Amino acid sequence: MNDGGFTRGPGPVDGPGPVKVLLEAVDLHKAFGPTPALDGAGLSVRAGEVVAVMGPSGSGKSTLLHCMAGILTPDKGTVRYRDVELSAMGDGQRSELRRTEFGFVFQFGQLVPELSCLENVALPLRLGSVKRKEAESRAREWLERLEVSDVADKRPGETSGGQGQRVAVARALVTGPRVVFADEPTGALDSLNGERVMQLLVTAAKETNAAVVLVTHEPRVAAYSDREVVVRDGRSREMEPVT
Amino acid sequence: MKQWFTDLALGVRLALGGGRTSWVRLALTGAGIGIGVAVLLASASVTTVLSERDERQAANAPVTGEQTSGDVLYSTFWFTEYRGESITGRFVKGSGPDAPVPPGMSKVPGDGEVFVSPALAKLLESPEGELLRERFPQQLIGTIDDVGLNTPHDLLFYAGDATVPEDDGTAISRFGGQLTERALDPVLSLLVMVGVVALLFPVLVFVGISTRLAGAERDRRLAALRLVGAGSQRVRRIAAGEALLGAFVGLAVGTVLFFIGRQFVDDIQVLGLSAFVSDLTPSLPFAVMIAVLVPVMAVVTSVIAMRRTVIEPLGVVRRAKPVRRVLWWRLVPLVVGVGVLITQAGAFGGSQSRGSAPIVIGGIVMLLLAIPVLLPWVVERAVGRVRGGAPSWQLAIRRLQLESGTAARVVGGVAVVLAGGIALQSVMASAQSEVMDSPGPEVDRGRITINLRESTPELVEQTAGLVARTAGVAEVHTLRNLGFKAGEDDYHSAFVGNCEALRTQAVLPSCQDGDSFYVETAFSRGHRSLLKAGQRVTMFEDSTGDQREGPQWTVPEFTVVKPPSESINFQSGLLLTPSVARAMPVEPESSNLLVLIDQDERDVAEHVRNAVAPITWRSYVSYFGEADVSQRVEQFQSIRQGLLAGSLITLLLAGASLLVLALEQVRERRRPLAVLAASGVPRGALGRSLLWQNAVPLLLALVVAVGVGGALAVLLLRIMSQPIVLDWPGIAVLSGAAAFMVVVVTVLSLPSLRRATGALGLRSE
Repeated sequence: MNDGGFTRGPGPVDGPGPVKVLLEAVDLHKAFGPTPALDGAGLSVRAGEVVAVMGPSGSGKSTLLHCMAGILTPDKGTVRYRDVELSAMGDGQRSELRRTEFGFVFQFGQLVPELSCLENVALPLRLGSVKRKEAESRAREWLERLEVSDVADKRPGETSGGQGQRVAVARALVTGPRVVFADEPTGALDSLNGERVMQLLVTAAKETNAAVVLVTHEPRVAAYSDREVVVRDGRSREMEPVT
Repeated sequence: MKQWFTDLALGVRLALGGGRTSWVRLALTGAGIGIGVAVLLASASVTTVLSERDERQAANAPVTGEQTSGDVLYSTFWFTEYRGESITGRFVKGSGPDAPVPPGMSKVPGDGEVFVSPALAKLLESPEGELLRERFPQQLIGTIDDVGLNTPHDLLFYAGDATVPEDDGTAISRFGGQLTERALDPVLSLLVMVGVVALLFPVLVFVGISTRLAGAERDRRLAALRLVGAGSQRVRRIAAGEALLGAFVGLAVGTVLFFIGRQFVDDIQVLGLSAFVSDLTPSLPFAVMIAVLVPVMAVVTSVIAMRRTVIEPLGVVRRAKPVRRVLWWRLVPLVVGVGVLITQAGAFGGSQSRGSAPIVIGGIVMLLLAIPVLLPWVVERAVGRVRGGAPSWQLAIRRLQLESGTAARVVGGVAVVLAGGIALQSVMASAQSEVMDSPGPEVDRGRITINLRESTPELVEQTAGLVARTAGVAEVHTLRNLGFKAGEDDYHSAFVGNCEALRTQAVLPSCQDGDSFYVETAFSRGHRSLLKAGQRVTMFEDSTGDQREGPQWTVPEFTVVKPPSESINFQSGLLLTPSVARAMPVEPESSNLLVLIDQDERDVAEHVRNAVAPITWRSYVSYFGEADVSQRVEQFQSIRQGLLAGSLITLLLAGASLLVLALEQVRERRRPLAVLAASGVPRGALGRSLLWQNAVPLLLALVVAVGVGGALAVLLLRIMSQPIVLDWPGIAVLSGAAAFMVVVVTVLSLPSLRRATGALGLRSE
């Protein structure tokens, strides 16, 4: 049973030559009731790069991320992933896109509390019809890679914040996504744990050539990115390259 | 298809996986749905109870008048009463060894032997049955098996008696007659419809509510699944898997509860009705319907409840203002229900039903459905206008202004119970007021009538002597009676007795042997022609059994007299002194003994019945002092009390759901509550806020329930052409119970609030 029609295959990113844009948002507008959240924001992401989206609270950075991930539909503007417009996709296609091409790490709440950490990591694979044993074997590898294999059989509620975030990173990367969306991934962690989670996330993403869209307001976290984009009052602006 | 099973299995896994919390949630859902299922299964057994009873009744029916070459069972039906309980039976005599044996017995009892039902055996053995034992001097040779009984509480006997007359009318060739279809009285059937719908509909609402327990948590979980790429269809299937598990657990719990409760059914007797354990079996189509309906309802409710979450992964919905509810479509069930019931006005009013039961049921369902549909709009509009007040009040109102749907849904179940209860109580109150306003004729509590069949003058005299010696008997008079016909369908009676006996029937100006009188009652004035002296009439040769037309007789000169009392139902007819009767061409075959009693003597009627017991089937003792209007009113009251109890039990069920949901809400909002407590809001204020959050929607629900319930009562009473009476005391009791329930629910949820507002509540993960 396939919920959608988005099929994974060779795209512009895999071809030779200059690195093409993988995901692009142009002139996005989004309002919640009378309150505008995005007012012409845009962002392009290339394969393997880490982009930090920064800005003060309420500036619209999370809304930009949700629109780019296909979670929210913008009121105006376009989001293209590998030259396919997201708004033209059906719900099934967007779901499959999130399952196969994207990964997500949020501040908290994204793990299913009823499932063990291992089952949580294996979940996207199992939703993609990978057999249970294989899914769990791959999940276990990722838990080891992120140094949390000891919590594999525990439920998220039984782990520390840092461990939970690393499990979430493992789950985001287990399907081999091309883009990982991380919304304040260290927001609920102390600096030491935050540093470790960021190191592991960026290293693992680089190893798999996955792009990372990182929403944060902490310069310390943004320092892990290749470039920074600032969102203010719903509009985005590219920063000078990080040196 | 494999994907379907995988998704359903994942749903089951999620429902079970959260440790203690998940198990508690599953247990609550299972218990909630289980109670509903048990009630539904019991209701689904009613048809089996009735059909089994009818079949047994048909199988036990004696067949007489058939030509047969074999042995027959001569039998006469007999009944007696014991302290208000009816005891029926037959005196029997087999014509030979192959005489048909009544169902449930091993043989035909011989002369002086008796078979009794288990209930009668128990009564005879008990100290309460001491007086009754005199009436059954026969040797007890066994009890009648269940197949020979209609219900486990039947007081039934078969006694062998050599004096039973042998003729075609008494000869039973076999047992097992035709099953006769019994049509319920239209008003009664309408009452049953209201009862079933009003009491079962809330059960279905409750099943729906139980499925939505921990809905917010489930929504978050499923939204997280959406985030990692589960499509909306898949999430629905996963949610269906979760709901199905709860539904199946509920079905299992309900079935177990039903079978446990069923064991005690033959101990229960309500208004003289009871059933065998084996009869309380759900009919297969209904059982299948429940087994399908409950999971389907669970899945549908669960899928409808999560429709918004499905659209938004991770529930990242931000709305500056909640969408205002629209009224027009919420009015549809109300308008349709009222419209449908108006079309049936008067349709169930007479003795013949002209109405359509499905239409009435549909109308009732629509009206009751209007309550949960209307309530969210009513609550939203009502709380939307409220401003100011104490902090606890403000917290509650602001919370309701932000999200009133859950609260409205919770009290919706309570309101449906209330509306159904109000409608039922009002219909019953109206029926009761009719009984009280038009009571039947009063009865003379001071007299007992003993009818003696095939009685010789010696037997009458002997019986009169036995009765006269009984404690509490003041006077015994003998009246013989005959029947005659003055014209086509113009039947009359004549009573023969001495002046003293005749004076018990009428006020006589003077009386001596040779006089004749005609007693005219208020009833006879409108219904019978007045006899004329010299009129030729046709006598009947047997005034009690087969009325064979006999010789002609000329009515003598008579004086028209009045009965001793117009309010008491005396019989009209000729009163003849003995010398006038001697000129009659036929001898009376039946006699009545008029027994005047001292009403203060305890159990006097039982003593009189015992006194005539030796002449067995030849005597019938009638004492109407034991059954009168007040008893009918009492019966109505007991039905109303039963219904009130039913409504209160259903209310309790709704209260349980209210509690579970109140606890769930506290758990769901533990973080903001903990933050409030941490920032200095007193727990008392939070507790009061919780009370207002429950009480305000409930108050509004009460208003809607009284309105809809009252409207339903008025419409039903119009359908039944009954006077419109609203049962205000019943409404007050039910409303008071609902208000009390809110207080209890709030008090019970306070410990949960205390835990939530503790330091641990501030933990986010």
